[in-house]
Amino acid sequence: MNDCELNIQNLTKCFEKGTANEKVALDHLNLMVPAGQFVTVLGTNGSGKSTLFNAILGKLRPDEGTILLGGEDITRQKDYKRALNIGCLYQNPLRGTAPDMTIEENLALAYTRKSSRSFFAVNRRDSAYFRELLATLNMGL
Amino acid sequence: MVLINMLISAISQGLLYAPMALGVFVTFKILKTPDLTVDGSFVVGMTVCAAVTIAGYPVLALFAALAAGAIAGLCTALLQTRLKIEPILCGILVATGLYTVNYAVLGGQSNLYLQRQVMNAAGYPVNQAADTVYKSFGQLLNPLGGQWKNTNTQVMLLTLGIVLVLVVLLGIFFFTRPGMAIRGTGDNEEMVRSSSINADLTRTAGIMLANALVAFSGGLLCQQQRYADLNCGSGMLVMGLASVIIGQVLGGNRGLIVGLISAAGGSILYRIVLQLAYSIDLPSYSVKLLSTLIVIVALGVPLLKKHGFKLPGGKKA
Repeated sequence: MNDCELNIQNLTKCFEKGTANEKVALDHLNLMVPAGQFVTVLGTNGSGKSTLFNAILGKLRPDEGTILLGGEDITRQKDYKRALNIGCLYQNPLRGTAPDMTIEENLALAYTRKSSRSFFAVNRRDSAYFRELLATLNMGL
Repeated sequence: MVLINMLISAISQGLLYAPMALGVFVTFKILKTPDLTVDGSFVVGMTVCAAVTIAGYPVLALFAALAAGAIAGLCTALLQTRLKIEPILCGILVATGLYTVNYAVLGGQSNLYLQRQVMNAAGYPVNQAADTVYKSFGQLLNPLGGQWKNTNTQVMLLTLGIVLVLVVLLGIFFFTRPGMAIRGTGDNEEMVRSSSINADLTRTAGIMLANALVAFSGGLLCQQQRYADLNCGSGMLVMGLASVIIGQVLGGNRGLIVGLISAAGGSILYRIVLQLAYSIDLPSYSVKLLSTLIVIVALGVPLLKKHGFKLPGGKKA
């Protein structure tokens, strides 16, 4: 995980190609992020920030280019498979939570990818870990 | 006594349809996608169960019904996840196609009695009733005499046992990892995907489970009434929804376990309400209109309330 390196080459995404509304969101973008680097992407509305992240997350297919994560080509990998190594926090918290489930179940669900295998989704070991983390928030959880 | 018998009969009916209500609960409340396959998978459970029962394996027949329902669910799920067809349409497509399958399973006729031809002592062919789980259970209870000999009581007890086992198993399942992934898929599919869970797979599993339950219900009903009929399935989804909604009104929104119990309980209450409707001389064909009205009222009330309509007695909706 720690020596993960994101390497994006020639990433291109064009919406509504060939129509009057044609919009090149990403034009042969190259980006290399070394391990441990903290990167912020800034840009005006419509400059392609979301398109970039959606391409990395696998929510949309780029027209051209490759995305390497830790040396592995993930350009054509399914979104849920690459989610094993990519975390995503949405601007709208409702997008990242399941409203009909308890906080503990939400945490357990989000933790599925890295947790130990167990029969029940909510187990004592994971719960203790969640409690420890939640206690640091001082929200009475 | 007449009243008690009527009540027992209504409860038995409710219990027979309870697995179907649980199946509808799984798609409607957990996956939050109404699944119209129900109308077809109920009958597929019935016909497959009839065929296997007549062959002489009543217990295996119920499992065969479960499997057949799961396969029907798989078809719907594949249409939804692979071909990205609108979920409502997927259900209609599969249910329509299943009609032919059901016809074929019944050997090209629209109904089938659970009996087979055997030669009697004189060498003439006679019809002999096939063994069902209810018959075997009855033979077990008959020596006890009294109320135990009442067929309705026997049906109620056996079905109650089966439904309890189902509710417990489902209750456990939905707290396991795959079970919770299915709940998450209905709640927020995007979150499930970004938690590195294949949401297509969990959705498929959920739809298969739901239709297996529905078909199982069809199988139980088939063995209880001793015949299978192709027309039994129409309007099944609406009846299931009515049960789930009645259950929800009573049980409220208090988590999964309460939801499962309410769905099964709603099915029983629904049959009691129907029984009452019959006893005030409503014709039996009014069932479907009644069910439809129950569902419309229950689904419409939250919106009406939002627009300031007051409900009598502050009923929860």
